[in-house]
Amino acid sequence: METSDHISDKKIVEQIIATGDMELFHILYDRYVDKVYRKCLLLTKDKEVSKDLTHDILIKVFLNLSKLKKITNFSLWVHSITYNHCIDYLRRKNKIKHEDYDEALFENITEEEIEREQQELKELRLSELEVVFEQLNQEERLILLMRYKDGLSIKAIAKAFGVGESAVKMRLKRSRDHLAALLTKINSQA
Amino acid sequence: MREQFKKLEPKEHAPAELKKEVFDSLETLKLIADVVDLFTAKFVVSETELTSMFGADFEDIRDVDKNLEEKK
Repeated sequence: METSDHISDKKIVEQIIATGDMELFHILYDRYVDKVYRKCLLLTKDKEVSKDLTHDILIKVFLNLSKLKKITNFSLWVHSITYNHCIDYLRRKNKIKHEDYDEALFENITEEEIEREQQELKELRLSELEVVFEQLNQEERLILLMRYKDGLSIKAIAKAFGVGESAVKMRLKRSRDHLAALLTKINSQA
Repeated sequence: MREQFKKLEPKEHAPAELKKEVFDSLETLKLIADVVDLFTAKFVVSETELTSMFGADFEDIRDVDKNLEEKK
């Protein structure tokens, strides 16, 4: 007999959509709750807020299951709901600011150039990253996680933030620069 | 850099009580949806029943109106 561990997300989602059986959602809950909670915790650094955000995100996931037309990557879909919900939360808390900037300066930056820039940080150690990550603001944490932890494209990040691609490139560059500056600071203190 | 970001993950687990809270909320939402369904379904049925019950009277009223118009 097939145990729940071996049933794919896709199959479970299909069964929930067909039967409306909430019991099956327990399996998906167990698979994703820590992933969602940890992402919220990385962003907010607040256990209570992360718990509330995770609660709302998982409810949103369940309520939107029937809208999932093609279940190609359920995990990615959950991540995108998580990020969208966190962006909304940070906006409500005024942690994401709308700033004026010269778009022309950033619109011609290619993905290759961004990749090259990140090479400057290739020597980054996990222990260092853990320290400096805490010192970044929430928007910087969010955009760096989307890009470097989950590998989202500039286009996907722009869509999630509801801004243009050049705005994302600018925010990414600024976040990386801040990260590099913090690293220099802790290394000079060591 | 990407490698280190991938490893960046808190060790904490989601609080155990969260599961009950999520499923309680889902039950409540389901109950609300059922009540709304029940109300809207009942309302449509009641309205249909009322229309068919008083259908004849409505016809009569229309006839009266028509007769009044003709007399004018």
